[in-house]
Amino acid sequence: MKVGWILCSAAAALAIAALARAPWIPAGHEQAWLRFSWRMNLVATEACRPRTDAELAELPVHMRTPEVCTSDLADYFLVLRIDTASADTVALVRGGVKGDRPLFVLEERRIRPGTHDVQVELVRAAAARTVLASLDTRITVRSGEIVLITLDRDGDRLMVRSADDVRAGGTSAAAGQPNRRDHDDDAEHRAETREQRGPAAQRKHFR
Amino acid sequence: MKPNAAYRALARVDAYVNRAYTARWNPLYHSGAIAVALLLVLIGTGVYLLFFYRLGAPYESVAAINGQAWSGRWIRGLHRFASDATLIAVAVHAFRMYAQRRSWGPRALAWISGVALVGLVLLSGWSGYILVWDAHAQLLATEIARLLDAVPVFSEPLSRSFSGEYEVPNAFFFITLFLHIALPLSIGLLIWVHVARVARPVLLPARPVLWGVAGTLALIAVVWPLPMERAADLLHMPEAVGIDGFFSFWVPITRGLSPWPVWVAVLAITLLALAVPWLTRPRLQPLSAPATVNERACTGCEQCVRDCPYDAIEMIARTDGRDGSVAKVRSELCTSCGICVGSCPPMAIGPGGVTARDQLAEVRAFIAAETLTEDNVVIVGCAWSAARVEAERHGARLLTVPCVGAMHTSTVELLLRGGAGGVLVVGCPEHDGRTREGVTWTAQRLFQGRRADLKARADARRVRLVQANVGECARLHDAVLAFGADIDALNNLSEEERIDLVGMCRSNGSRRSEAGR
Repeated sequence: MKVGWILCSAAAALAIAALARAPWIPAGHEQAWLRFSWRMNLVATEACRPRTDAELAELPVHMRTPEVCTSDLADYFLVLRIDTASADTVALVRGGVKGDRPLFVLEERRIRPGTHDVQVELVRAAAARTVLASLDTRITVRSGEIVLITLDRDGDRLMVRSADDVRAGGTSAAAGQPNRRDHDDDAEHRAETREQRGPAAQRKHFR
Repeated sequence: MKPNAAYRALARVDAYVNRAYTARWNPLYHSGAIAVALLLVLIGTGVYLLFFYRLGAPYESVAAINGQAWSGRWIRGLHRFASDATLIAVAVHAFRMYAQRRSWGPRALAWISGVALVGLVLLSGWSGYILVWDAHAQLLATEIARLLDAVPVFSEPLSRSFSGEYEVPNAFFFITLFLHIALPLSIGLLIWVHVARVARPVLLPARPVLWGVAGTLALIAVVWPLPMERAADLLHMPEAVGIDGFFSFWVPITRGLSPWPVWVAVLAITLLALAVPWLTRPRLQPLSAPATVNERACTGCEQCVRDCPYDAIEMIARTDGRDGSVAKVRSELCTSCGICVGSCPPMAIGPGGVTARDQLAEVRAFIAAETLTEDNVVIVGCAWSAARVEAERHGARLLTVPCVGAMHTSTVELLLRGGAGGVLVVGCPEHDGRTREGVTWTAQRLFQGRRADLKARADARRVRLVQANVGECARLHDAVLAFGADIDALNNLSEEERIDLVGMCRSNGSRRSEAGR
């Protein structure tokens, strides 16, 4: 019996210790990944007009604001093209129950390890389709590596980050350099969002 | 009613473990108390680890702890193995309660709080694994975040915190550490609720079991220390990682699934677990009514109050004009276990249909039906015990009682007076009674003078108590044969030798001690 409980206890302890470090190979580790992740504020288009005297008269005194406004949020899309594949358009969902929270992008694409041509466009589709930022680059990835494409802090250019960049404490300058077209678009975009035309006119502002 | 398949399977496993450890030290019988003891081990080792853990450098600080060959390494291993062992103990405890149908009625509170405790233990464990911030933590955190993001609760997707866009902030580890410390406090409070309806809850196992479990885990932590996994790298998919098979077993399963089927499965399992008290209740038997008290017969001795395993009996002032107090059953707490039946010398208490007077009526019918001689051994046991199997296999004379713990000693006396040569009472193992302390009280009533004790006029040498579950039929059969041989030897003694001097002395002694109380 003494041998019995020693053997049982040893077996149980070994089983616990072995299962506490159960080896597992996650599926997809032999692949590489392209990850798109960033957060950006939305541009809302707000149309305001003065209230008429009749409207003001119908309202209680404390609710008589001089203007009535309606705001409209644009839709955003991510257009991805990897190598020669056809463009993949992803509708970006705005955060929050009302869809009025900042927009969060988190997309992943599994790719083969090696060198790939990657084209990315961030598109705002309001009255007109505007390319807010774009990236046309060539990346080289190893198996198990995740290459991150993100928007810079100013929100006006897309850039590439890899594990090596993070270890080096920065981003890949060559890969992260946006082309000329990006700068032009962004400048235009910023100018557009700064536009102010008085209280009764249509205006856009950041949420 | 025959025991269910789950109970039979459990009894078979118990029988094997009893062979190795004996029924007294069988760790499976102490599973609930072991879980509590391991929580204390976790708190002790956790406090040590907390001294060295740094929120600003989680992985590096754990690696430094692991580098302390004489202390940190094995304490970290013990912390981890104890958490795994806690989960095993909790699972065994829950299965025991389910298989023994000890989850319905007033015990539903213990079951439901137990389900909540399992949830808290899992949450606490996950938070602990994430604190290490190694490849295992990375997989666990990203998977939990992915599942949580499907539920529209958070204003920002949690998964973005682990996208590699920026370093995981210290605040994340602070919140995780806070949870890892706060959750065990909640577990402590919930354990209090868990045992609220139990009299004399056993929160710690017997010392040999306690030190045996803790010592074995500490030994394995020294002999086979936990390795450090690679540090988490959010821009790299781990190639091979050692995951905890107890807390993270689900990660490989759910990673390939979309979140909603996982949530549906979690919800279904939780609801099923919560519904166990209601699902098991109707299958048990036609439910006994709560115990009632015959106030005219009650002497106010308070023995039933002391014996009730669920604190369901209280003493109140008499209402029949006499002085003193009388027992009153709080029906909302009574599980109809019948332990009080065996505790009452004047047979004044018990659930309807299984009172001591009902038991005596059944014994009289049994004696009338059987032709008992001095050579006969009558086995007394419940339908869930090995006694039933012994009767079926070897044709033993069996008197079935609802529960040996609820058996009044007068039934044994009546069997002996009815001509039986011996009475072999078959009860549950002491630490595994379906009615908790029932079999312990019965042993004390039969042989140690506990009220309502076996009277001196019954020869105690002709009575034996065997604790054997339905998986220990062979052991019971050996005990029956041995007892039969002893009865034969007793029958062959002369009239003078047959006098039970030991029993008489014991009886006088217990009477003296009662007079002294």
